[in-house]
Amino acid sequence: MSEKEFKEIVLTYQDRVYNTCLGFLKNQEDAEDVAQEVFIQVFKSYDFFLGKSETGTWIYRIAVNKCLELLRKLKAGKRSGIMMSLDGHEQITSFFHPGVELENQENARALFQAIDELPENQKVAFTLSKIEGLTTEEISKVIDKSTSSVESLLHRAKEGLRNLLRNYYEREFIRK
Amino acid sequence: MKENSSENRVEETLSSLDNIKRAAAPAGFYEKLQERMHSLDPGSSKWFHWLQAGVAAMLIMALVNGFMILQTEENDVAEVDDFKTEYFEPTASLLNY
Repeated sequence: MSEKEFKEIVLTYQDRVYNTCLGFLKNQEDAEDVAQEVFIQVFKSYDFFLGKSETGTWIYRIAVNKCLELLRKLKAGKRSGIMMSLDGHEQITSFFHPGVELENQENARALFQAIDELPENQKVAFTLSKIEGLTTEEISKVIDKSTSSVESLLHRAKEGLRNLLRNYYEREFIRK
Repeated sequence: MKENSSENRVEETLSSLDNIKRAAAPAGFYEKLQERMHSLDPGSSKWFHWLQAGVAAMLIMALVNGFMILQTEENDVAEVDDFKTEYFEPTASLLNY
């Protein structure tokens, strides 16, 4: 892959990849770091990419996998209780997505926290749909599932979020 | 009343990402990526260039040496053959005496 081709790919997809990573990781430094790793992976494996899927789909797939990899690592660290505070990932609760309107930031913060509680496949489908704005068909290509499976995942994700948020706000009302 | 208010909040929260805009990659993303890739690539570091140059020079010297040795051996064989022909092998002209 020539440098010119690589630059073209990076410039075309950098915002999409960064935004996807930010949606999953909720930390700007981690998102930038992982987005760079995504493009390094693209550079390394471009010659082996057989073009079975579209370039964009392939890049999204790498991004999702890299993000999930890091989230699993962070989750393992959280269980030990040490790495989380050392790495500074406790700031998830104070995360504000730069693309969310100011008046929605508070609600979005609660929603992002709830998304974290979802099972992995629902989290992926919901993040790609809501944060990155991919269609059901595009998501189905990225995660290699049928469109009906994606629709079901999105439906279950919304129901799951509704329950999580309901519990959260009910607890908040009781506290007040 | 409490239930209604909580339900409203849930729906509001669920729709809080409806008009989200895509976050742009930080400025200089490509340049930073290039820097990182160069630092990962051992071929780009100075010591590696020196090492490559050293190995190349040694290979050239080994090739030149090999060539010289072969040349010398060929000359030696030719000299011995000449000597043998001149002093030990009967030639047609000598037999004629």
